[in-house]
Formats: sequence, structure tokens, C-alpha cells
Amino acid sequence: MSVNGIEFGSGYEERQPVLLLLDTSASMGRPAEQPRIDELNRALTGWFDGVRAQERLRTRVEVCLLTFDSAVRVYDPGPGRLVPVEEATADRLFVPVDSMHPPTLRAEGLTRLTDAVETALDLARARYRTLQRQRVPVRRPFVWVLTDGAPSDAEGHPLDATALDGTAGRVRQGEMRGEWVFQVIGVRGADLPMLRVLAPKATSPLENLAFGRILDLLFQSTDDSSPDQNADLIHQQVNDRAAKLARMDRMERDLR
Amino acid sequence: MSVGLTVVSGSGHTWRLTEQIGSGSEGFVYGVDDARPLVAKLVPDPPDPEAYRRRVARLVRQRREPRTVGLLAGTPVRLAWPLVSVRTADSTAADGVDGYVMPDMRHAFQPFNHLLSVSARRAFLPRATWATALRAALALARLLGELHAEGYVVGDLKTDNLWVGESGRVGMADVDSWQFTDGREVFPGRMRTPGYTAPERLGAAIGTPPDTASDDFALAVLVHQLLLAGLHPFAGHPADGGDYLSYDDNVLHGRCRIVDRASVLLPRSVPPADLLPRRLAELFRRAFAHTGRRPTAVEWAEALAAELRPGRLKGCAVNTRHIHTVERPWCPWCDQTEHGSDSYPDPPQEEA
Repeated sequence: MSVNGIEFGSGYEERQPVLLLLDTSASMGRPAEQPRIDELNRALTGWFDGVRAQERLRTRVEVCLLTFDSAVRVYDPGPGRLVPVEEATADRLFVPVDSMHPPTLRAEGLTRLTDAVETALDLARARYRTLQRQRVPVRRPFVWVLTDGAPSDAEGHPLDATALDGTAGRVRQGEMRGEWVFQVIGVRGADLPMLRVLAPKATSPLENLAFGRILDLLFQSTDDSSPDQNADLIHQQVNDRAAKLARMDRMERDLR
Repeated sequence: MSVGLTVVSGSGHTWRLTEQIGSGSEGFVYGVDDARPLVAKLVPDPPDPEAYRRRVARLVRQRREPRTVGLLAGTPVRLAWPLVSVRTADSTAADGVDGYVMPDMRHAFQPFNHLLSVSARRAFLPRATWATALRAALALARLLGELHAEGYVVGDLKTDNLWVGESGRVGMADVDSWQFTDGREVFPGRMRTPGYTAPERLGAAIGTPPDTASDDFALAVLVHQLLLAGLHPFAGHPADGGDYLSYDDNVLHGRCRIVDRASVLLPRSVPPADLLPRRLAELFRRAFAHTGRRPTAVEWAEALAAELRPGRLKGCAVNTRHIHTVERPWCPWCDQTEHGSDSYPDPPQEEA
């Protein structure tokens, strides 16, 4: 039995949607002499350039890139820039991983994390349903958040644990229903206790790891985890591997 | 270029590590500053560090034993066998990371995945044809048959652990994850990979040891991928209208084109199933139908060798890279091309 129109790249692999949520709030502009946002920009460009050599990822993974500061934006490959989600064309936001040309990010504004997560979950669910309807062999989406800050509301007040409850519950429910795997990576200065309210078992502190290595770690987890697995098992694997990676990284740096 | 790490062997030989060239779920592979093509694998915090050190030490010792000498015969060597145990230098006892030095497979091989997609074949193996895929399948089946005969179980047989050469030679890495015994102690295999796990292991508890039969299942998956230009035997959307979940889910539910054509939906442009010679098609059915005994690596090797005998392969008048079995009267790759995709398109002009 056959269906038409479900080619990807030139392979017949499973499709793996990934939503990458990047914190572009003002704190990412620090420290002034070596802003993290510059490092993130370099890492994104370098990583997506390098992925062309990684056959397993290249044939399977499609990426939707979102940023959050005072607003939530999504990368629309049509115009090739970040646009407010409501202005984006929904059916083209997922880009084959080797055709992603990440825009240059700027750091400014607040940390509207919960809005970004809610938006990403909606996009993830819609994409998953679309591909299932098209009979594409799609695996459940991965949703990854990279943040260095503490979530705030629209006025810039820090969110407390109760304000995160609704979003946290939605994340958790979706994971239990097998709708997505949600992972938070807290980079330098992140409010980890607060992030753990959002993702109790899926918050990895990777303070000193280069962004490129973090991306390697995350994308690798799409390759050796199974969609049949409980999300918590995947979180455990990612945390274990993050710890090993951090350890090797520390040794490499200490001895340099 | 150096990452600043140095490793030292038991006899005091040191190697400076260059860049990190790979990482898996267990360990990290580094280039080694040495005149010979060597790399080092470091495994931080294995579940049982003492057992891991013993495991590597046994493998290093077995390199000199008759059963292993045969496996390591020939050039280029097919296995990234541990040559010597090492530990990171300049670190305290509690802090050090164990690992081993092994041959650098990049020296004589390419990543196996290069043979499994059109774009990678074009870029890295522009002369590869279906005959190359057959030869690689045969080399892999032979190697696995030899390993099984010597009492080794690979356990985590998958494309990421495999290497391939232009002519279809095959190499294997990650020897330290194998299951084997030294006569007294059994070193169990515990890794498994989605899409390459035999159905009887899918339901089983994590840590259930692999055996030669589960290796034979993974071999059949890999041979299918090779002979059908990358297509996984359990690929396809469930035809019953339910959601797709994973290869493993299709394995558990017997959704497999070769076993039951009506069980999955696939794009028209995938390579046609009837490009397989009858004998191989029958072996695939036995391997994937969950009934009866699975073909062994040796059976695969015999059947694959038979397909490479003179007169068994035929070229196509339209495209010189279209090679197929003589059992099929017309070219399967041209049929596929008519459906919108050519797994073996013409080589780039400069190659022609």
C-alpha cells in the first residue's frame, strides 16, 4: 500500500520534529565584555552548519526555532526572520535540520517563559497531528528550552511557583500521553529551583558547557531514545549524559 | 590541536589526546597524538567501574588468543579492538576516567550510514551500486558469523557502530559493549537501540542479556537497509489508521512490508520489495515474521554470497549504476525512478 508526497530529504527515515526555545531576554546580553547571546549565535550557526555531516540527524530531524523575551517569536523560513507567532505561516515553521539558517539573535527585554512554552506546545501538537494525518512516520516532538534567567510575567515581575503550575501541568500531562518530550537546560545563572517547578525531572544545569555541546547532547537524545519509552527515562538518560559530558569538559579545561 | 587531556597505560606509556571526535551514550572518543592511526575511548562513570576495567583488560588480553587472532587477521583490520587499557593522567584515583586505545576506523573506512541514503552515497561513495550493498551485507554477515562462532555477542548491533569501505568492506567498533566470557566471568551486554532490538527483547526488562538470535535480528534489519537503499524493514505508517509510534512499535505489532504488504503505508517512491531475489526474500520473511527459527548470520552469508556469484547480477541499459538481480526481468531502480525517486542516480559528471 502506498501514499504519495511523504519524502523528506532523500531518505525514508522517521521524522523527528524538534522545537528549540531560546531565551533572548536582556540577561543573555551579559556579561558585557563577552555576552552569552554572541556565544549562542556563534554556536547556532556553527552547529547547523556542521549538522550536514551528521547523516542520522540530517535525514530525520526538522526544527522549529522560537525565541522569548518580552515577546514570543518564531523563525519563519519564508521571510527568513523571527516573527510574532500569530503572523507566521503555520505549515512552514518546521525546517529540515540541514536547511536551517538561524537568524542573529539579540538580547533584550523580559523572560516570558510560560508564554513561550505554551506556544511551543501548541505548535508541537499541531505539527504532530498534521504529520500523522499525512501518514508520515513521525515520532513525538521534542521541546527544548535553553534559558539563563528566571521566568517573569508581562510586567517583568518574577513568576512564583504557583504561576508556573498551569503550564507545568500541561507539560506533564502531554508527556504522560506521549505527546512530547520536554527538556529544560539551565545555563549560567538560571533560576534552577523555579525551572524545576516546570520540569521536575527534566532540568539540567549545564552552567559551563558550550552551547554547541549542549545542542549535540540534545540532538543525540533524539537518536538513541525510543518513542515507546516513558519520558522520564529519557530525562534520566539526558541528565546522565549531561553529567558525563560536563565531567569530560571540566577535565579538558582544567588540564589545558 | 589538543584538548589538554593525557592518558596513560598500565606500563606507563602516555598519549596526548587531540580533539573529541565522537560521543555515544557510554563514552567519548578522542583523537590520539601518535604516528599510527589510533583513537582513545574514555568512559566516565560506568555503572560498575571495577567491572568495566576488568572487561577492557580481558578484551586486551584476548587479542592474543587464537579465537581472536583470526578475527583480527587481514588488512585493514575489521574490528576496533581495544589495544591497551588507559586511564586519564594527572588525576587523582577517584577522579580518573578509564578507557582504551584502539585503531582509528576512519583511516580505512567511512561511517556505515554513508551507504544508506542517496545524498550521502552521492557525496561519499559515488561509485556505490546495489552490488556494493550486497558485498557490504555479505561482509557484515560473515563478520557476525565469525564473532558468534568465537562466543562473542555484539548486543548493540546498529549502524552507528559500523563502518564501510568503498568496495563494501565492513568494520565494527564499540567492542567494549559486547557480551563475552573469559571462562570464569561473564561480561554481559546491556545496551540496545530502537529499531534494532529483537521483538523478544522489546518486552523484556532492561538489562535482559542479548544472544546470538537477537544479533541475527539486528543483522536482518541492517541487511534489509543495505539492499533496499536505506529503507528500514519496519518502516511505514500503520495501515489500520492508528498513529505511527516507532519502528519498535511496528516490530511488536508485526507491521512489516515483507511479512504483510497490507500492514503499512509507504510512499510509492521507496524501492520495490520485489527487487529482492527469492532466496533473500524468504530469509527476510523468516527473520521478521516472529515464527520459527530466525536465519543465522552464517545462513545469511551463504545466501548473500550466492547472489554475488558470476551471472547473478545484471546491469541496466539506462543507467550504469542500476545493478539488480537477474531474477528480475526489468530494472527495479528504473521502476522506482518512475515513481519519483532514484536510489542510485547517475554519478556526478566528474566521476563519470
